[in-house]
Amino acid sequence: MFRKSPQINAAISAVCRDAATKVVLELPELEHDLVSPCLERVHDFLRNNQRDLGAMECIFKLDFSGADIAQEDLTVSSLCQNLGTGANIIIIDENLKIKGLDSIPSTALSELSPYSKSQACCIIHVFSGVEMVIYANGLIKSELNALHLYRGPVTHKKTARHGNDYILSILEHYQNRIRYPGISSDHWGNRRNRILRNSPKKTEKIFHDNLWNWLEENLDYAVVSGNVGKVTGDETDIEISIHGEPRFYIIEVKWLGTNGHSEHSEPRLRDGITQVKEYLERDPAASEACLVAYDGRDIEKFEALGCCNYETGQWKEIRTCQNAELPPRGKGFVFYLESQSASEKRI
Amino acid sequence: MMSKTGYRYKDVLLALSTADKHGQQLGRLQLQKFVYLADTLSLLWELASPKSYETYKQGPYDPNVQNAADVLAFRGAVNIVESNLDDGGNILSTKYQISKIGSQILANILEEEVIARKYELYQTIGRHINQRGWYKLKELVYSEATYLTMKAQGWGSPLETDSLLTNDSLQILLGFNFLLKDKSATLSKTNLVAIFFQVLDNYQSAKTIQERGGNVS
Repeated sequence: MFRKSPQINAAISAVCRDAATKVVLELPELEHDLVSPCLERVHDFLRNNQRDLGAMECIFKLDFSGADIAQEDLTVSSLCQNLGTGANIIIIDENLKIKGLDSIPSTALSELSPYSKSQACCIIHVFSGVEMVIYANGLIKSELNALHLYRGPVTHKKTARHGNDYILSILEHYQNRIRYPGISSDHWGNRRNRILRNSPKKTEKIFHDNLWNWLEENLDYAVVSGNVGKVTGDETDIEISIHGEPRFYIIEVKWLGTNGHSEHSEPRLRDGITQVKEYLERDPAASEACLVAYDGRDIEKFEALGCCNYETGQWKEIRTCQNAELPPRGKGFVFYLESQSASEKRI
Repeated sequence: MMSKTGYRYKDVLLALSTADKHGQQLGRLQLQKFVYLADTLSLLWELASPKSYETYKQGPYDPNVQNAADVLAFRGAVNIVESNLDDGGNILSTKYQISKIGSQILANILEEEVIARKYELYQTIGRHINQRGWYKLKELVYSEATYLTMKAQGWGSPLETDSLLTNDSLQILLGFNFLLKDKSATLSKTNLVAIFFQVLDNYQSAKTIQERGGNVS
């Protein structure tokens, strides 16, 4: 088939990564023809007013219903005026007309996701004036910077994989970003004492966001949805849907070790296995669910884990932990976190 | 049963009327390409299209579309706005525009539900073309998957857009339904058309990158 040519492959994958498409795939009742220009107009608004907006934080809720409401244009002054009333959600239409205001107690992730889900709507969380996180129906669909928007198809990456090969991509994520401390992942709070970081994001969120971002960039023919983590107990961390195939994969992210506040070891893995089982029972359509755990404990504890496959000193594929067993469609990986850099380790 | 040229009368009027709403007159090849895009997406609107397009050196070509345009021009339903001939009397370029008579005919046939539905298809496509510029019609059609597949087999290859088995663009578009969270839901036809044009845009970009010496994944 011609559509497997590199150009068509790139064209389809680029559409899968497009923010407006991802919003519409989550909320199919929305019109792509309205979402896409609206997102572009918000980008333009933030980019053109970056100096006046400074480190402004607010939430835009997209509402394309034709309700006849008195509207005003979205400008820096109208935005500031409306935020000054105590509201933090500005309801806008596709032409950036302000249709109304709303508010939530805080702009924390644990508020934004449920709001977007309960209203079955698309919201854009803007912070630091130019950073944008787009939610649809409770899920994070895209993270963008208004000053450095990426458009067009991706150029070739040696780490690009088909969505069905997500396991290989998870292994490559570990090798390229996580295994050694460095600029690709800043998960250590205190490397020497092997204490993981717990701020400004929670430890799990640090790993979750890093993995999600990697899969999002590297999986072709796929839409990767990132959850906000532990908003509710039954929500999955990452889901991967495949273009043209009735398949989707679920990823559950965990960490082991200490972050100075809490400490996790094998019972955490057992909980992860239980969660994977629950996801697969709840959603029979899921092709696979995979537990991904990052191990910040000492190497001896990592080496003591039972496994069915491994790469010495790097990762282990597990099937069981403390009497909990992964189901046939379940996978489990534990990745050892080096606290020395690659060059330090060679010395 | 209606002849293929007879079938194309309506297509020509619908295409020219849509273009006219955007202040455009269409050249011969632009008309061919606009009708071809409508054929490609017809199944989304549950419309049949005749199997009469073939690959040709300047894109998909259906002689019935040209015949229909000529007949409609002869009968006054279409205006030939400009026509340039070479020394041998061969047509170099022509611009067509729907005439008042053509608009009246169209208004009458739009009372048929099927034609009204087809007009909606043309208008949806027309909006997307207009956003990109009508001069881009050629590039858009040259990025369409069925055409690309069949072009590789040489000139005169049939472009069978009326079946999911042979319409590569529809196969790609319907693949997006699998990405929906709700597996029982499907994307609306207008959203699928928006995605269709995104795929065409991205294909062009990928091709441009490759032509400049880059690689695409």
